[in-house]
Amino acid sequence: MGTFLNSIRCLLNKFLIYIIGVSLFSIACKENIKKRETPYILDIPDAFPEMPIPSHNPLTVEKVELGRKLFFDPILSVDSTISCASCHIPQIAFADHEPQAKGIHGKIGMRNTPTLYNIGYAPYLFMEGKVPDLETQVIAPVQHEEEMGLNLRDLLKRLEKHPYYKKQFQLAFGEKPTPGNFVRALACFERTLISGNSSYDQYINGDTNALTAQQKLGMELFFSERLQCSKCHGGFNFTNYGFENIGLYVHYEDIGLARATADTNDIGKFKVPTLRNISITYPYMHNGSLQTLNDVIEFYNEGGKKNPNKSSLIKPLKLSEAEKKALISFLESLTEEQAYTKYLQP
Amino acid sequence: MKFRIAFILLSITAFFNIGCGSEKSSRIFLKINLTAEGQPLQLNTDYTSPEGTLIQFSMVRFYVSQISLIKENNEEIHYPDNYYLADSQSENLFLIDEAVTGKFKGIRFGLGVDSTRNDSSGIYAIPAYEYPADHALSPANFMYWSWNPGYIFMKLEGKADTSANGILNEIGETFSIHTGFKEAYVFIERNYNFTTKGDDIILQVNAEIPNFFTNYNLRSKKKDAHPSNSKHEDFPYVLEIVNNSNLVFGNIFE
Ligand code: HEC
Ligand code: HEC
Repeated sequence: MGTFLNSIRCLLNKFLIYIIGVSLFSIACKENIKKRETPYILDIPDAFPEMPIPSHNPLTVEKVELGRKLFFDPILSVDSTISCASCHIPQIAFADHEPQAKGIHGKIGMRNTPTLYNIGYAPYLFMEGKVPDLETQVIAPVQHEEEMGLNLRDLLKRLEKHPYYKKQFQLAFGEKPTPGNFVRALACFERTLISGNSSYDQYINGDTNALTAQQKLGMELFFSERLQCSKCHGGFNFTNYGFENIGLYVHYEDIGLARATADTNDIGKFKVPTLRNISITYPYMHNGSLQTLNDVIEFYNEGGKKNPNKSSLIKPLKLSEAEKKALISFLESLTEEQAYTKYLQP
Repeated sequence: MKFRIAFILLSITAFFNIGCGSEKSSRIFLKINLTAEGQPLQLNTDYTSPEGTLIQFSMVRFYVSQISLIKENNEEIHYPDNYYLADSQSENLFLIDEAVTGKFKGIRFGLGVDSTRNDSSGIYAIPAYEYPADHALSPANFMYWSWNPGYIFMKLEGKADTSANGILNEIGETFSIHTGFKEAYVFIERNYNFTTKGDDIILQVNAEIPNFFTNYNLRSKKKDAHPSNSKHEDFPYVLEIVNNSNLVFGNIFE
C-alpha cells in the first residue's frame, strides 16, 4: 500500500517537473535573439586549394563578425591592454616588428610573432606543430601569462556582461558565451585571413608585367635545383609545413620541435614558415634574430652553422651580389600591400 | 506571472518529493583531506619533508578520475565520466553518485586524467575547449598544456630549503613539479566496508602531501620537473614522485 502511494507520488512529481520545465523554457525563449547562420563565402584566390573547414564549425557571417570583434578587443587580456591584434597587427600581415612577442606588462615571450595570413590552411599550429586546429590554439594566448594572462572563466564573465557580446553570441550561436563558441568564433575569423594577390600571384595568373626582370631572375633562383628554397618553402603558401633545422645556431637556446618530442634529433627544428608578405614581417626566424631579408639571404648564402640536425638542403650557395638582390626582390613580390584593409572595422 | 506559477508548482513538487524513490539508496561522496604532518595542509607554512628538507607548499592540485566502487561480490560500479580536481584551497568534497544501493567493500580511483580524455588521437578525446569553464577539465583550471595539448595531472609547487640553512626565502629555493602522461597515471585502491542505508555516505581519505617526496631529496634531485612527454629528461623524476602516491593516501574513513 505504502509503495503504491509512493509511486503515485513520484509519478505526479515527474509530471510537475515536466510542466515547470516547459513553462520556464517558454519564458527563456521569449528573451532569445534568434540564431542566424548566414553562410560566409571565402574569397579564395584561383591558384589556392579549398580551405578545410571543420564540420563542427561552419563559417557564418555572424560568427566571423563576432570573431573579428574579439580579435581586436583587449577585453581578452587580464588588464585590458592587449588584443590578438596587438601582436598580430593587420598592417604587418598580422605579425609584428618585435623580435620576440611582447605581452601584458611588457613581458617578452620566447618567440617571434608569425603572420596569420592563410593560417586556415595550416595542418597544425605553433612552431612545434602540436596544436591540431585553430579552435584549440585560441586557449594558449588568452591564458598564457606572458601574453594575455586571463583565465577563461573570467573572460566569459566579462563577455556575458558586455552588451555587444551578449547579443552577438546569441545571434551567432543561439547561446551565451562558452569556451566552445568563443574559440569557434575566433577560428572562423582567422580562416577568413587570406592573402593571395601579390605581384607574384598576378604574374602566375597571366600578367607577365607584374614582375620586374630582376624579380623574374629571383624567382628562377628561388625555384632552382641550385638553391632549393622551394623544397621547403614550396606550394601555394610557400611552405610545406615540414619541420627543419636550417643551422641558425650551433647550440639552440630554443630547442624547437624537441621541446615537444624530447628527441635530440629534433633540436633546432621549426615549422617551415610561409614566405608570403615576408618583406613586411621582419624581423625574421623563430626568435626574430635576423633583422632584414638581406641578413636572411646572407645567412643562407653561407650555408648555415654546423649542426648535427641541419637539413642537407642547406649548404653554401655562392650567390653573386646581383643574384642576392634578385632573390630579395623576388621575396618582396610576395607581399600584398593592401590586403589588410578589408579586415579592419567596417 | 509565469514565474509565480512556476514557484507554486515548485513548492508542491518539493512537498511530494519527500521520501520519493527507493529507500535504500544513498548519495556517495569522496572527500579528500589534504594534510601535512597529519594536520590540514596550510599553504606557505613550514613543514619537513620525509627525507628532512624544510618545505612550504604554494599550490597543490591534482586530478582524480576513473572511480570505481567495489561491491562485496566483486562487482564494480565504474564512473568513467567523473573528473574531479583536488586543490589545496578547496573543500574537495566530490559527489560520486546521486543514488546507489548495495554492500561495498572498497573504492579505487586514478590520479590524473586517463588517456581516454587526454590523448588527442584517442577516439574518446574531447577537445578541452568543449568543457564548460567550471568543469574540472576546463583549461580555465590551468591544468592544461596549451602549446602541446594535454592535461597536467598534478601540480606541486612551493619552496624547499635546498641550502639547508633553515631559511626558506632564498633565491632559487622554489620547486615546481608538474606531472602528466599516461605512464604517470596511477590507481589508488582502498578496502572499506559500507552499506547504503539512505543517508549520505562520505568516504573520506587523507592525502599526506609531503609524502610525495618520500625518498625524493629536493637538494639532489630535480626541483623543477616539467616534462613535455614521457621521454623527456624530467619524466623519471615525475615518475618517482607519482610512485609515492600509495604513501600519500591513507585509509578510508567516514
Ligand atoms: C603577446 C603577443 C601575442 C598575442 C597577444 C597573441 N599572439 Fe598569436 N602568436 C604569438 C606568437 C609569438 C606566436 C608563435 C608561437 C609559437 O609558434 O610558439 C603566435 C602564434 C599564433 C598562431 C599560430 C600560427 C602558426 O603559424 O602556427 C595563431 C593561430 C595565433 N597566434 C592566433 C592568435 C589569436 C587568435 C590571438 C588572440 C586570442 C593571439 N594569437 C594573440 C604572439 C601573440
Ligand atoms: C630545409 C628547408 C628550408 C630550405 C631549403 C630553405 N628554408 Fe627558409 N626557412 C626554413 C625554416 C625551418 C625556417 C624557420 C627557421 C627558424 O625560425 O629557426 C626558415 C625561415 C626562412 C625565412 C624567415 C621567415 C620568417 O618569417 O621569419 C626566410 C625569409 C626564408 N626562410 C627564405 C628562404 C630562402 C630564400 C631559401 C633558399 C635560399 C630558403 N629559405 C631555404 C626552412 C628552409
